[in-house]
Amino acid sequence: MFETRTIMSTDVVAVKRDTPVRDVIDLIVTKDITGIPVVNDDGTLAGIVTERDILSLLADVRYATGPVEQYMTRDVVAFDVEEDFIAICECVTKNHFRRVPILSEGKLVGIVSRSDIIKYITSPLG
Amino acid sequence: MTKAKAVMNTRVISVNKDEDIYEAIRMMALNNITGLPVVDENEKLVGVITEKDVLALLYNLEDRPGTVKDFMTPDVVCFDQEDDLNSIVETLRTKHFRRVPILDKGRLIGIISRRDIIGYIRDLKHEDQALKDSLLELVF
Repeated sequence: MFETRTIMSTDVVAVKRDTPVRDVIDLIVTKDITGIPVVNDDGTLAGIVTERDILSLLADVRYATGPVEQYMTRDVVAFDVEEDFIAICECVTKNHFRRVPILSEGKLVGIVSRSDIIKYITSPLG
Repeated sequence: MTKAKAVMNTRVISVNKDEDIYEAIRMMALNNITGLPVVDENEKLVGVITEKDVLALLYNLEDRPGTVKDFMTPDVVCFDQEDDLNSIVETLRTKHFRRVPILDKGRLIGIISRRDIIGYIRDLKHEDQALKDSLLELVF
């Protein structure tokens, strides 16, 4: 009943490795997202950039230049779209990150966040 | 020095410690927020409840009714509205939580999230650009 592909958000905001970090800051503030997957040209996952990564460059953020790949986290936990949904729930419950990218044949096709899980499970109650 | 009160969001949605846990979950889902400060009847901060605190409760599908105080994190890092923004930034950069409650004489009056700070800095950047543009106009 818990199928990852039906629960994940598929309208994922993702950026390319050479997207200017300034554009990423704008996306985080205006789109109300806490983390953005970074993809290679072929759609495979290169990393993720989060609010926290951006805060870390705070001291010089007013002059922040360069592509997002300089600031992103490269070591990302991701799941395949066929993966068991409960395993994903456990992953974002036990770890400090609040979202995992979902891949199909290595390419980014969705994202599952703690909010997605809560909204999915509580929606029948609503 | 920029103070916390210059940046904090004062439209804080908080929840009472004796509220049903499922009401807190609904509040988070409806308002699109990832965590709620928990207060007592005197608006005194007693904890924070986050998505993470309630997730296991949801997918385990066990019937574990309870109130907010049963699931909240009671030891909350919080700041006074007169505190220096820099120390708040340092906390949010190095710790795992993404928001801190802001107090005035122990009473909850605001919240500052990572997002609030990024937005604040971004706006500073834009102000800088406006200043630069007006200087350019003066020169040419």
